[in-house]
Amino acid sequence: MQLAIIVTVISFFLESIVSNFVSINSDLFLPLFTIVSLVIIYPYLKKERANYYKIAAVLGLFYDIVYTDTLILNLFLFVMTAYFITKMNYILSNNYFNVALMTVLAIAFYRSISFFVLVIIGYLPFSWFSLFRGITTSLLLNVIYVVVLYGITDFFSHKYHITKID
Amino acid sequence: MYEKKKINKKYIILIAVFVVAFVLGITNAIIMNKENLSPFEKSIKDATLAVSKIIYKPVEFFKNKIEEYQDKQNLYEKYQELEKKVKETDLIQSEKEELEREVENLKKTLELNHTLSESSYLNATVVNRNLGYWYNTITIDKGSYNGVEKDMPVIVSEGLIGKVTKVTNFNSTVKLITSDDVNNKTSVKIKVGEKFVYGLLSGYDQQKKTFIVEGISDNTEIPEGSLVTTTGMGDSFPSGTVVGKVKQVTTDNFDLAKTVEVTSSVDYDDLSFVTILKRAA
Repeated sequence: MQLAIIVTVISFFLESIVSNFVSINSDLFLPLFTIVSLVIIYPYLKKERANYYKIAAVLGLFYDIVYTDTLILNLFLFVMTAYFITKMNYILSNNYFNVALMTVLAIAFYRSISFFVLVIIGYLPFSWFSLFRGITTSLLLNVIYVVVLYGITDFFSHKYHITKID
Repeated sequence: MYEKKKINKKYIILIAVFVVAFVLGITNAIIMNKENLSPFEKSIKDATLAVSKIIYKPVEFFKNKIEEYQDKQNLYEKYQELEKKVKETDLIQSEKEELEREVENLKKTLELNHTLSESSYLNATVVNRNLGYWYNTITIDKGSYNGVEKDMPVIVSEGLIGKVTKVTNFNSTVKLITSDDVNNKTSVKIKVGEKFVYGLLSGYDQQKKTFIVEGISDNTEIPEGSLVTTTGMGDSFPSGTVVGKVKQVTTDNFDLAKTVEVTSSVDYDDLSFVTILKRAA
């Protein structure tokens, strides 16, 4: 639980810091570390699924208030993405490749749902190009981040004998 | 047992529909009605961004050192460039005074509410950029404590970049004019010779990296390179703030509606410092 909280808090602040180093309209390197951290922490909270969803909800709420000013939209989206990650973990075991794959799918899921919500409420015009760009621009940097973070958390879980269910 | 499972499924679907409708409704109310942040949201946002700024400080120090080193590499060229500009300053100053007198007279004649020359400037640092992707916003480190108010225009030296949409005590959110938001339209004028052609800045083409101006008011030929500025109509932007220059003009098949593509000299990819135009009291 402690490791999960540390990982999510670091990812949350790191996303804000890294955004200052990449261009706004970057084609490859848009950070989405907060969502990505949900993929990493799942194996550590497999036995405490309620806590996993609570962390996702709190992260979503903070993301709403601090970064997007949308109050409950990301709370809802983060919990949905956490549920999606749970389902993926039934099919895929945890290793470097699968974690990267789950990150790609989780980003695609999160971006698509948020895009469709904003289109439905009339905030954004519908465009396949926008949606496609929204997904692809976030993939590379986040996959690199998730692979590095997976290695670090795996190292600490072995060192401090933290329970992890792959 | 089977009956119970069926009822449960019905309840789950009902709850899911209710939750989705609730989220859509609330999101719509928050995003579209542009309400102010509650004191709870303001305090959480300020506290979290304060922590973020503390963490960012050492990183920023190294970033600045690297930029400083890069700047030092072409110091002599920059010195020569600045020397040229200094020589032109006296001339510009006298022109400015003359123009201010003219603006004052014209304002009295036209009964204008406010112009660009009436605004005072407040510099701010960008805290984070476009998190959430779809919203096209940046967060800056000045808030209501520094006199920032909702709808104040935000510029950089090359031109307009957006306006303040949310304000907390020590931070503000700026919505960029590159936003896809369908409600984000700005009235602009294009200088053609001695006259102005009016239109509406209606969007940003991500592929071409140009602004789209539609609803052109007349059939005047618009040459490439014409200056596009805000009109001052509406409450958001004062008249005369630079948006960009005309890149291309296209007409529809019936030669009725004109669409103007405008390129901005603002580097949206590297917004680190911005200026807020505060309206004079």
